[in-house]
Amino acid sequence: MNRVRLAGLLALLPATALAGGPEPFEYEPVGSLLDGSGEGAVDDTVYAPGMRFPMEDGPAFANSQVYMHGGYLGPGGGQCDAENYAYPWRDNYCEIRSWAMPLCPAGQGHQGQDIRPATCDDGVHWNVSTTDGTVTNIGSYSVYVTAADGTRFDWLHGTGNVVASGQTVSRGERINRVSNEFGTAATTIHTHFNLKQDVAGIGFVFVSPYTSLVASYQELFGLVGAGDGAIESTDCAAIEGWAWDDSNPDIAVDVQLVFGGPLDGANPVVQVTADRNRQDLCETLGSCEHGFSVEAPLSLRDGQAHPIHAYAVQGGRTANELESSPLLFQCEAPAVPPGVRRQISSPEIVSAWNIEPFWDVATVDDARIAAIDVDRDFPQQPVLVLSDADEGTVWLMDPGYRRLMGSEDVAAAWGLSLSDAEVWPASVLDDVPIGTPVRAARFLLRGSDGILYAIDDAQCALTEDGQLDPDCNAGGDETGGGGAEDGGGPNDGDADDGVGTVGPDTDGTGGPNADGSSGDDGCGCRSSSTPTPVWAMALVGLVFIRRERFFPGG
Amino acid sequence: MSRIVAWPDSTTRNTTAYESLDTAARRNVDDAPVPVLVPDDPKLLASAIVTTGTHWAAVATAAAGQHVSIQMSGQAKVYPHIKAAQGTYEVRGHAAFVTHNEGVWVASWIENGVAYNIELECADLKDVACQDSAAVVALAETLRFVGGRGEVQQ
Repeated sequence: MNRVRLAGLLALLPATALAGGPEPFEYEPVGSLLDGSGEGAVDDTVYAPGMRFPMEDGPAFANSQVYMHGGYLGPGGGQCDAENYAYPWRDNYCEIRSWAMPLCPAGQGHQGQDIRPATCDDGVHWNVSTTDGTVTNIGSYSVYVTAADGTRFDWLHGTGNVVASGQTVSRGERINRVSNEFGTAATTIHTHFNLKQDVAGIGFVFVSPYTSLVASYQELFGLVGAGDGAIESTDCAAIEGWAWDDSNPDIAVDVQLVFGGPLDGANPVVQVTADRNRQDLCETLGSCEHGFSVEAPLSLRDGQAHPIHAYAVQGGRTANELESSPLLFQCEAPAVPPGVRRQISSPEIVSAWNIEPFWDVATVDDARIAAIDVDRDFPQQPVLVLSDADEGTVWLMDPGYRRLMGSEDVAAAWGLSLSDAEVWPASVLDDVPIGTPVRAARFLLRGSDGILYAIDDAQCALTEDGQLDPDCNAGGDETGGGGAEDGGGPNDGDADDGVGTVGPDTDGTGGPNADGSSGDDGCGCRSSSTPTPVWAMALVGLVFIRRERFFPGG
Repeated sequence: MSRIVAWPDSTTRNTTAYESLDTAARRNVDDAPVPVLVPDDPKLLASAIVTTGTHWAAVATAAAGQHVSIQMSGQAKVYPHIKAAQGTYEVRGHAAFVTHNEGVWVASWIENGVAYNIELECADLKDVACQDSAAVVALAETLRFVGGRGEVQQ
């Protein structure tokens, strides 16, 4: 079964000639910048699926202003050189610039995409709104439009604005004309087009517009592709079907699944390649490798009916809707495992833990959530560590506790990898109390207020000297967590080993007890006024060092 | 994914700045889903246009050839392939990214649980305010909380 990325993906083919456009349309792949102009971002995410192309008419030519004819680092010649007004398109997001751009491979670069209009004429061709939205700023040479979802679209260097700050605009509504305005200076005749979004883990940032521009250009000119097939079944585990191009059965067709409505930019989109072997297709189609199967998103398992539209796409062309589309997906929420709930309090934490809310977070009714005890907030970021005296045991640092990360499978279930573990001094690590092993699978949920929680084990309270309450048994993950196989770390069942233990260890494993007595025994668990022992101060220092390494100051 | 807004206490609300906004701007501040920050410069306040969406607010204003744009977001998009990163500047006590392209200076940071972004665009590219990052950072430091619909009453 495939697990695919959310947000609207488009398979971009390099220099693909397509029929039906203003002329055969060709484009270089995303991230492929002109030689010597920097390293592009190879990112096929369509950040603004469904947007309209930002110029009223075509053809239009996305390429570099600086490194092509007429640019100050170009090969010479004037800006109206025919090569500037020809396909293929060329990405120039992340082109060499000297200021911070966190999504560029170099950490700095060009913020958007330069687009030339159909002809090298100033003030003739219209820029138009990509979306229904609000004009949120007009500068000397810029216009910003913000969509309902918060995505901001920027047009720079235009002239003759016919919109005003604060007004609403409709998709396709005229904004101004393509020009060379640059305050009191001038640039070449083009539109510098930006997409800006609030992205988890970063905040406001310019994201790559290139794939969104390709998709919108193809849509504008009706570059309809081939492809046929059907969406056949949905159960609570998977969504399945098939698709192919009968004129070219050797090519695997991509399928876009749109959840909640049609392909209009407002609904989540995932893309999967229909390349699975299906024996039942062999006779029917004379070709077998055309099936697809996608894991059902956990967030849609809320008892409600969700339409799923399916489209065949090929070569990045506009999609054809498959037979039986839309199909209804209706599943009850999965059972919530026992435990406490820990709030995941910001998008930055979601990003740090590699959580994909659409796929990973169950939608649970508010009453069920309210019945689950609230515990400490979920850790800000995953920190996996090894002791320099025992590099065979990986721990997850959960503030106040270290918790056994029992295997690579367990780590993977949490979106982590054991290879990311850092080596810490045993003198520091051994003093950190041991909590329950990390659960074998993560379970995340949210209710109608949108607040995310992880279901986890309560941990034992700490004593005044920062160790575990010896009378406490925090229990743990009854499904495993990996601790039962290797003794749960340094504590092999001996309560006097000086590192604390999870609780009475009746089966001698140090992990969950074989008789299932790992559940809550009502110890009262963690105190809200946890003391700050010496080891905790040392941890703060180590975490600080770690952050310095990943985020060097400047 | 919605950001959890930490609404500032009403005692921190700058009523002088709020009352310097025109009626339409004040109405939109009152309706904003996130804490609204505005510059404290009276000239910028007088011309400020405030807009709002379900999860965002924005301020646009200008004076003396300097255009200021502020965005505030209470809803982040989650892209699993984008890893967390922190900017190397400090703005209003928070790690911030500062960037510059096409003549526009930009600072972005997270405060009150909300993503903020301020941009400074000079009509004259030779304007001293657009020669380096100092002006946009200084401008960010002048931002004052003027309200929002979730404001915490003291």
